[in-house]
Amino acid sequence: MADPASRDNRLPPHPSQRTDPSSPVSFTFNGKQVSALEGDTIGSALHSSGVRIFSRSFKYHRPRGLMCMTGDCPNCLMNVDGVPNVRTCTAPVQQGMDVQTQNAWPSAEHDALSMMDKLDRLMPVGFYYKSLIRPRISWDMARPFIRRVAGLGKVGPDKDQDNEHQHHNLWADVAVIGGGPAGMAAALEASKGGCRVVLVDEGPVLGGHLLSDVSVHAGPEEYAGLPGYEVAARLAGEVHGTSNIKLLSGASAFGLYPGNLLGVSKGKRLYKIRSKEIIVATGCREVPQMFPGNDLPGVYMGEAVRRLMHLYGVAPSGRALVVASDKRGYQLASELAQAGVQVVGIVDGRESPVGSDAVDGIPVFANHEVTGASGTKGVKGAMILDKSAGETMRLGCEAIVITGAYEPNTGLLTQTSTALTYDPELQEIVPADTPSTIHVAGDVTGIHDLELSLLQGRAAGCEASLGVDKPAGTDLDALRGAIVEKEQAYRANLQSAAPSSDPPRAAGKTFVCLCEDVTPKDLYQGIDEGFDEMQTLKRYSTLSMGPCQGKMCLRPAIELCSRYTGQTMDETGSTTSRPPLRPLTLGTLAGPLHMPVKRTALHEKHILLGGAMADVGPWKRPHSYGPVSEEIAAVRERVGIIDVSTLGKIDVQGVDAPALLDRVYTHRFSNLPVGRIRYSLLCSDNGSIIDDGTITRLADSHYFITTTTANVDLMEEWLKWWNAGWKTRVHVNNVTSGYGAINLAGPKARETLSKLTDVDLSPDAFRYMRSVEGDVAGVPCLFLRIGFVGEIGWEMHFPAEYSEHMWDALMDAGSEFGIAPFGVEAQRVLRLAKKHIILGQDTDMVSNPLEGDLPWVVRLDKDDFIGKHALEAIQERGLREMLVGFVMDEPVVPEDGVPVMHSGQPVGRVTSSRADPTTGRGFGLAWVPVDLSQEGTQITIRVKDNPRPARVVHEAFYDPEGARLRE
Amino acid sequence: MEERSGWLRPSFYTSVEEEMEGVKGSVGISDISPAGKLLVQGPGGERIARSLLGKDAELQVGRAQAGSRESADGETFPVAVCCLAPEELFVTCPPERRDDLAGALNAELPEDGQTIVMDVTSSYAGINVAGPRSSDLLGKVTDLDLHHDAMSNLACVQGQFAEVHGILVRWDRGEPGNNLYVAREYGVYVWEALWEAGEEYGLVAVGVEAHRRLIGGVPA
Repeated sequence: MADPASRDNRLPPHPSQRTDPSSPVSFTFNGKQVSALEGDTIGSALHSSGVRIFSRSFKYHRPRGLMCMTGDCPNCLMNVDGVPNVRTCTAPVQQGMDVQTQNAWPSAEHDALSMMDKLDRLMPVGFYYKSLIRPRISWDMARPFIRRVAGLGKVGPDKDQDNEHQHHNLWADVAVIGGGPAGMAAALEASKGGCRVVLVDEGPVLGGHLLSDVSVHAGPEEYAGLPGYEVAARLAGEVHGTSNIKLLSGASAFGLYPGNLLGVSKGKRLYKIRSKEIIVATGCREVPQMFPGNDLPGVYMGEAVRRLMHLYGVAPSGRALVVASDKRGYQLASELAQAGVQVVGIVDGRESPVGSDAVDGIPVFANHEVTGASGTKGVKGAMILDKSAGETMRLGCEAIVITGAYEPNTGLLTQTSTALTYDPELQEIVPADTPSTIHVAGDVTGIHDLELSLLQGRAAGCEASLGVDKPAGTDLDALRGAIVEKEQAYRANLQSAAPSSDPPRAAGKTFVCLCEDVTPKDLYQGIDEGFDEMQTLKRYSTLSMGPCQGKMCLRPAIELCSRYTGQTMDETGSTTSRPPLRPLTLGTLAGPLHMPVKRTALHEKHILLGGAMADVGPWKRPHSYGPVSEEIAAVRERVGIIDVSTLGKIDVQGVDAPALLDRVYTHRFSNLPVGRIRYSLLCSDNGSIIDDGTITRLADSHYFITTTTANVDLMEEWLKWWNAGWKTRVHVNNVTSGYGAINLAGPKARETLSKLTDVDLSPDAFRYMRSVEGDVAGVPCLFLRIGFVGEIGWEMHFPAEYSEHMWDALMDAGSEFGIAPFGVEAQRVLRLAKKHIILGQDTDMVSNPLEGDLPWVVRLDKDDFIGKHALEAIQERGLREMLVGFVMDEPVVPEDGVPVMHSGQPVGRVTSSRADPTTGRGFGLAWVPVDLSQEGTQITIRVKDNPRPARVVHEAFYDPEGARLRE
Repeated sequence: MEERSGWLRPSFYTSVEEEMEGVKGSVGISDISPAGKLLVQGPGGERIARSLLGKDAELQVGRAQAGSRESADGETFPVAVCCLAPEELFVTCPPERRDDLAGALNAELPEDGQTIVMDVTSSYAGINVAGPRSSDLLGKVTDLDLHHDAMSNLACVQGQFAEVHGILVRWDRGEPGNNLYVAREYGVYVWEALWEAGEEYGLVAVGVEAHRRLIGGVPA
C-alpha cells in the first residue's frame, strides 16, 4: 500500500506552508511506521505517504478517501491512540501516535465487507422499517451482522478514566465565531471601544480560508498586491496585539443556546461563553457534486487540494480534472499546474464563462458537466457531458477537484431564531434576518469576496460595540453604504450555470450522504413513499444523520428533493442543526466531577481510628471502626462515643418563636420550660411526617432544633416559609455547619464527662431531657441529655473548630473506663432496640404519626397546627396500618424492605431489621395492617423467599421502662 | 503548623518566598477559615454598619466596605462589612477580634428584638484566592461573571462554587484577591476542587506568613 514516506513527495517550501521540513516526526498507521513533518495533520501526512483509502463507508463498505480537509466529511475518521472517530484531516500529527483505520476488516485497503456494495437491492431506503419484522427471530439473527457491518469505531473500555476534562466559564461583551478575515475584522472593530471580545477559531492559527489562499488580492487598498495568507497574517498580528481580544484557537463552537450562551469545545476543555453580542463569521463550505462515483478516493473538494498544497506541501498524485464555475476554480487549476500536476481540463457548466481563457494551456470544457467517475478503489477517469451536443466523453485522470458551489455554515444560526432563505441570485441558502444581538459577516452571508468580508466584519463589529454601549467610533452608515455599493457590483458580476436538469446517467452509485450511504435513488423512493419535505425525508432516509450532520449532504439533498417534487428550495425546507455541531465526547460535556462531599471536623480522626467511611447522603460517616458487636457492647456496658456533627441544627429566635414552633410542630413548645428538651414531629398538610427531632428551649424566645441529617435544608426552608407567610417575627438560621456534635453514651458516660466539666451531672441535678450550657475541657458546650441509643448519655454541641480537641479530651477521660468510638451501624442497632424510628427508613412520604405509633407526640388539643385537620380526619376514619416491633421466632434476620405476608399475600413490610446479639433472632420494625398489630400477634415475614414466623411486640426491645436512660 | 489566636494554622507550606512568588506570578490559595465572621440580620443592620463604617455610610447590596472598630483595650482593628441582601450583613474581622466584635455589636442592637447578630465563624470555611490568574481559576468552578467589569474590587456575590453555595468577596490588595466562604463541612472539598482546577495555572498553597505579607490588613 503506502510508499515509505519520503520528503520527495512534498512540494518545494513556500511561505504559506505550515509544515516544517526540518522537523520530521513519525507515527504508526495500522502498525506501520509513517514519517511526517511537524505541522502536518494526520491526513496530510498519510496522503503524502501515498495512502488514498482512509475509511470504508457505513453501509456498503465502499472505499473513501480524503475529501474535504476541513473536518466536515466523514471520510477520514480513524482511531487515534484508542480514541475512535478522530477527523484525521484536521487532527495534528504527534510523534509516536498510533493511528488505525476503523470499521473495516482486515483493513480499509482490503475490506472483506466491500461485498455489501453489491447487496444494495436487499437494503433499499428504510429497509429496517419494512423488513426483519416477521418472523420476530429474523431481527435477532440479522442484528449481530448489522452491528458488525455498520457502526463507527469502538471505544476502548479503559479510555478516559483519567478525567482530564476541564470546564471554563467566560464572559464577554462580544463573542466572534470564526477567525477568518470577517471574524478578525469584526473582533478588531468591536475591540476599539474597549469591549471584552472573545474570538473563537477552529484552526490552529488565525486566518480561515485565507491561509490556503495564495492568490494575490487587488483590494482592499491596504492589502492590495498581497496574497491571501499574507493578509491573514497581518490581520492575525493585529488581533494578537489587541489586549481586549481573548483568542480561543483550535476551538469549535458547537452550540448557541438561549441567552447567548455559546458552547465551545477545545480538546478536552469546554468553554461556556456568555456574551451580550455574538458575531457569526463561520464562513462557508464547498458543496459536493452529484455524479456516479462521486465518493471515490480521488474526488476532492477544492479547498482540500488548496490546503494539501499550500498548508502541507502535498499535491494530489496523477492527473487532475477541475470542476469550476467561478474564478476560484480557474485559479486552483493554475496552482495545480504550477505544482507540477497535469491538469487534463477544466469542466465549466457555464455556456460562455467569463475568464475562460485557457490558463497555462489547460483545456476548458465550457458548457460541460461531469456525469460520472470511473474506478474501483480510486478515480481512474471522468465522464464529461457536452450539454449542447449531448455527447459524453471520457477523460483519464486520477483526481477530480470540485469547486464552485458553496454553502454557508449556518448551523449556529439555525439554533437561534434566525430565518434562512434561498437567494436565487447567489444560489445559496443564506441568513435573512437575525435576532438583534446576533450579527453575521463574511462568507456565511453567501458573498465570497475578501473586500466585502472585511467590510461586513467591520460593520458587524461596529454594530456589536454599539449594542454593548462601548462604541467603536466608526461611521457605521458609511460602512453600510460601502457594503451595499460593493455588493451590487458583486452580484452584477455573478455568472452561474443553469442547474443541470438531467439526472446523472452513467452507471454506478451516486452518493448524496456519505455518512449513511444514501443515494438520490433512495431519496426519490422516500419521496414517492410520501416523505416529500426535508424534515421527514431526513428521518426516513437517515440522510444527514451521520457524523457530518448534514454538512456535505444537506444542500445537494434539498436541491435533488426540490427538483424531484417541483417545489421551490424554500418550500422544500431544511433540517434543524442541533448542537453539537461538531462531535463532542460525553466526557467533555460532563467535565470535572464536582461531587460535593461533606466532611465533619472529625473526619481525620475517624480515618486515623480505622473507620470505614460510608456515604450517608452527601456526608462521609464512619460505618464502624471494627466489629459492630464490640461497639454495641462498649455502649451497653462501658461508654461509647460517636460523632453526630451531621445532625441538622437550626437556631430559632425571636419574639414569635414559641408561636411559630407551636404551629409547625405537632407537639407544644410554648409551654416548654427553659432548659427542657422535647422530641417532636412535623407534618405536612396531609398529616404525613416530614421530619422529627429534638427541640431545646434555650431562652424564652430562643430555641435550638435538631433535624434529621438529610432534611435540614428542607426544614430551614419550611420554617422560613411559614415565618414569612404568617409574618411572625422569628430569625431562622441553619447552624449545622457551625457546631460539632458528639454523643457520649453508656453506663460510664457520667463518670467520663465529670472529669472534664464543672456542670453537675448527678441524676437529680441533670435529669433526662434537660439541657444545660457549660464548658467541657475548656470548650463552651450545649449539653443535651437525650438517649437515642438507649443508654444514659449527653449529646454535646460546640463550635466546630474545637471538634478534634473535644474528641481527644473525651477519649482520654474515658480510657480508664474502656471508652470506644462507635459508628453509624452500631447506632442503628442500638436505636432499633429502643424502637426509635429513623425518618425515611421506617417512614415514607405517606406515613402519619398516629399510624406510626407516635400518638403521644401529637397534641390535637392545641390550636391549629400544620396537619392537624388531616390527623383528626385519620383518627376519625380509624387507623388502617401500624408501625410495630417484631421479633422472629427463629434465628433468622429479614432484610430491610421484605414483605409481611398474610394468606400468601403481602400485607406489610419490614423497614428495619437487625439480629439480636444474644439469640441471633431478627427483630425490628414493620408496617402491618391494624388487625395484625396487637401485641403478640403471630405474623409471617418473608426471609430469603421463605415465609418465617414472627411475633408483634409493642414495647421497646431493650429497657422498655427507660430506666437506664433516666439513671 | 503553629498556633495563632487559638487556631492551628500553617505558617508556610514550601517557603514564604516561593509562595509569594507563586501568587504574584499566577495564583495561590490560603485557608482563612479562622477569620471572625458575623451575620447581622434585621432592620437594625444599618445602624450597626454605621457604627463600623462611619456616620455617612450607605449600604449597597452586593458591595463590601472596609471599616474599623476600637476594641475594649483601645486598639483599632479592621472589619469588612458585606451587604448580602437588604437587612443581611456579613461582617468579617481578624480571628482574635471575633469575640470583641460580637460582644460590641450585640450591645449595640436595637432592643426591639428584630435584629440579631450571629457568630458564624465556625459555620464558614474561608479560602482566599489571590493572584493574576485568580479569576481564571474561579471561573472554572463557578459560572458567575468574575471579570472586573462585573466584579470590581469590594464586590460581593453569592453563588455556586464547584456546585456548593458560597459567598465571594473581591478584595484586591496589590494582587487581585478573592475571599470565598463556603459551609465549613465543604471546606476540604472546595479546597480540593480548586486545587485540581488550579493545576494548569501552577496553583500554590499559601501559608499565613506569605498571606499576611501579600495582603496584610484585610479583615479576613
